[in-house]
Amino acid sequence: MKGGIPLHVAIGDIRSITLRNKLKRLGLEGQHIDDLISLVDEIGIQQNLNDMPLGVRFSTVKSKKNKPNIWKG
Amino acid sequence: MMTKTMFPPSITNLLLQEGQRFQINNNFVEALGTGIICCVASARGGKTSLAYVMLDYVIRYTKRPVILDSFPQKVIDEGVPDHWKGRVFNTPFSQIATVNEPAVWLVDDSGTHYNSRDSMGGGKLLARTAGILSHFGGGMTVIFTTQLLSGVDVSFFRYTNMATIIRYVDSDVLKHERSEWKELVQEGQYQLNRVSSGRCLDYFWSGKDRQLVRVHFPDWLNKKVDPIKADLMSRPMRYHTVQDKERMIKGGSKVVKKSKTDKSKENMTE
Repeated sequence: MKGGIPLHVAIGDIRSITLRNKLKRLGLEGQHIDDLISLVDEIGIQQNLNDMPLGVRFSTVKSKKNKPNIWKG
Repeated sequence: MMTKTMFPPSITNLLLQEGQRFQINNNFVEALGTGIICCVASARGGKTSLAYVMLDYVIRYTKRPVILDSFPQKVIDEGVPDHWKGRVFNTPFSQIATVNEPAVWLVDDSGTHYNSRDSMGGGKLLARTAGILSHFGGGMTVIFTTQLLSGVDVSFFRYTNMATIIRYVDSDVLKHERSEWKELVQEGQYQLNRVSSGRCLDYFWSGKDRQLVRVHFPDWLNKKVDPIKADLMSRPMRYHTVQDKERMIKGGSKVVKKSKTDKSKENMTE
């Protein structure tokens, strides 16, 4: 199982899967559908993070990795 | 390539002669010219070669004499590069008081000569000297290399200005490092592994500047250019006589007397 589950399934919400299947059955596609899916994914992830400590929530924030400090003589 | 700004400020500050000017962030400052530069790395980790590059810097950009502590005469005569000739001596560190110039000393593999467990021997000498390095010869600098700082008498680090250089240290050896220095050495390993791998011979971590520095490897140390000279410089202690090698390992002629046990009183309580 490890490493084989997409992020939105692993830490998202079951409703995002239901919505995906529903939209697929209806044959709906396009940018606005993708936006809707990502919105539901984000709501799901946020819901899960709500129960987590602040440290865990902060660690999910995208940040720049600091570069090694190399002396330029 | 050798340039005057090849080393970060904390190292340049000690390599240049007292009063010589150098640049930090567009400001000129005067070099202190006295203190200790300690270089930590496991065996074959590039301690000695880096120390040589620092000495080469001293020879090129200052008028300070260079002293290779207790090096075999053969290395001084046949190993050192031509532009070092006349600038390099092998006075023993124990005779530091006789030198009246702002010398830069290389004390290679301090763990053997100045071991912290040899409190009455060389270890004490190094520690006592540290406090008055700035007085001798108008300010001296000691570059010393060691595999682990826990092997060097702790007093040596207490009384003067220091710049620390961390290179690759074996992870199993690192467990035995002095607690005061362990964090710095560990950080060095982390930083080195960000830009290099294996023995990380192409960089060192300057502890005081908190910067990685690219290492310059001169031709005269390259085995492919001149294997004999390179070996003379890379493993100088190999060229000591057997007697000298034994003296180094045994720490002079000191004999530890066994304490006498009175057999008749062995199991008595008083």
